[in-house]
Amino acid sequence: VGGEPVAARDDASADRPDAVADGAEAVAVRTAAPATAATSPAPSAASPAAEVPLAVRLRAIFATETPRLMGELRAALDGQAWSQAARISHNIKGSAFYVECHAIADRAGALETACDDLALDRIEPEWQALQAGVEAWDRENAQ
Amino acid sequence: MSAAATVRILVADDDLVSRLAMEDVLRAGPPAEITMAEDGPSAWEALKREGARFDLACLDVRMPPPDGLELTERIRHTPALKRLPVMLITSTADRNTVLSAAKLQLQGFLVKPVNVDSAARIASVLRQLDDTILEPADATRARLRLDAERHARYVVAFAQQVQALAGLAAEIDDGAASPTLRTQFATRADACRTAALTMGAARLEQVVGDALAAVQAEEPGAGAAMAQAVYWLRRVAAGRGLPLPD
Repeated sequence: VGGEPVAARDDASADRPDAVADGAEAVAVRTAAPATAATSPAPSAASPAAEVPLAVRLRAIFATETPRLMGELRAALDGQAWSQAARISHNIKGSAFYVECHAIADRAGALETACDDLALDRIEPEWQALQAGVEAWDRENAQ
Repeated sequence: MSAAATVRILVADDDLVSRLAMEDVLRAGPPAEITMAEDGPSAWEALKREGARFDLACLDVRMPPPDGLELTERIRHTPALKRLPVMLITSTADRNTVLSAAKLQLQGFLVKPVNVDSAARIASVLRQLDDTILEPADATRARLRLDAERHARYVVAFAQQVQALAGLAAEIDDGAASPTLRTQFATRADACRTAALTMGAARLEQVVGDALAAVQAEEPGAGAAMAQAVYWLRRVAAGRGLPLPD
């Protein structure tokens, strides 16, 4: 193997691939999925999930996930685990954006900020505001 | 694009709604095999095990530690992973996050809620990245005044160089390499880097450089770096209708 660039060669040897590479075996490219993380090829258009509009699926997941997250959030607040509470608030905020519930997103964002800032006097009022927002969303979507 | 050109993307986000939305967004882009990780630790495990085979990592900034920023730092400090393209997912690209991320060589941010614009952004990033793995054929052919057939031969020759180096690097990483083999690797790696620059393969040149540095420092990582180079090159070549021999 010479030092000159492959494509810069303009003599006969440049037309022979073996002039620039020889003697070593190819490395197999493995495509196996990691075991611990969930690996999924993008669902095909025919999959059942794909038949349900994304917005509907997101709302369904939001409806089931938010009560669980609110429970975890309350436990984190009670345990004064402010960093964890901020992260869970952040998740609720992110999810709320997807279901276009900006009231919940704003209140979760305010609680996240209060936890990040360790503004202890603001945390409980922001929690109550968020809880009220989630309950209102539940009522609207139960109808 | 052929099946062989499927890109592999790691998505790490602890929020189920966000993961579902990201999967939907990625379905709108190039054919992709998506690995979903639901928190930082499982993302890191996937990266350690399969990192060299990912084409892009999309990491949520805020999730159970290690979060997206810390994961990116770990990636950049891990020889076998440090060239992995990363986009950070965030609800608010606030000033502190942007400043923290400034030194992490990111491909960009995806701001929640991700949507069709995010899909276009990811596709654009992947296209640009592919252009640094192998320059578009038209550009190389024009620059080097090659016909299509000759260009294809050059790509094959280049790929064989990369694969030969990968074989040597694996032997070296196995620990049984003689000084002669290391010297042989260094000589070939130098030639391959030059060839990579000629082929407009800037990112491959960097990865080969990483492998060379590892061998010269007698540290592990050359095999993983070269395996990544082989994977990237084969995928991009296949996507451009230049299937390479096994």
